[in-house]
Amino acid sequence: MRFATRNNSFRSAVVDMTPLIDIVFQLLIFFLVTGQAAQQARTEMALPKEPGQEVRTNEQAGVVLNVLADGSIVVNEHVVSLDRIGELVAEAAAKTEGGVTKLRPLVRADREARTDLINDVLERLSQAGIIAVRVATEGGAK
Amino acid sequence: MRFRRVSSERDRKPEINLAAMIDATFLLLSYFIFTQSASSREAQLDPNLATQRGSERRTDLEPQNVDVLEEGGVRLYRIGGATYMDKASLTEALRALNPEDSVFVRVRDGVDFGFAATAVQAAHDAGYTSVTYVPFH
Repeated sequence: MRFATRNNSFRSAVVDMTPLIDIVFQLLIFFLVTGQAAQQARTEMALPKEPGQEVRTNEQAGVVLNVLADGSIVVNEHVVSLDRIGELVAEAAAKTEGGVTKLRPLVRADREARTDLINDVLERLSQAGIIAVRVATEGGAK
Repeated sequence: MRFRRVSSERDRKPEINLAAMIDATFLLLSYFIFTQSASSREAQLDPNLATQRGSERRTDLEPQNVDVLEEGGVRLYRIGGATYMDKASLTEALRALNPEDSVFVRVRDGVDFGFAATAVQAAHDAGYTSVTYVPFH
């Protein structure tokens, strides 16, 4: 009796794509979830209901200033005083190529916040060398 | 006696298991459905900054200045001697001026920020490319 031997040379190569797809989608989900978490880490407030504008610039925010309706200023989840704004801008400028002129701080101010404080904040930014800011609004509103 | 194998390795077609991809796709789908309403998209306005204290005089010769103020408990916008109460009328007035120029939005103390942001938005909507926010104490 003669038994046929296995001939591996004719065996077609099968690439199992399943683990690859699994890993890719798991990574995608990871980045989406962490991105969402970063978004939610922003201080909650009622932003002005305006549609905003499409601006594409290469300037960096550097500093995100949250001005709440109760009159407090929050940066990186810490309440800061007006006097700290200059230092924060200087720190951000030191990390930015092009320095302070390339910074466009993002001011997220509650729509109910008084302009007394916001005017002070913007003056401090201007004194620190900032030439323009970005004002956050609740996008999509008409 | 010689036995023939029912299916040889050579005849076997390569298969891609789609189950994992479908699983992940449905996970993504449910993720987007649940998070869509939770987070609202944030937009931005882009005003320049100025700290110069402007003149207190208000004349018709300063049409490119928009004053945002509150008088007698009423919030209003003022261009020269004209007063506007809402965004639509302010946008229309700004559009009638020269949108190729720049506009200064002078925001006085004592107004809520949402009202001031509306003036900046109105200037952009009217076609002004250079809008300067002037803190006005």
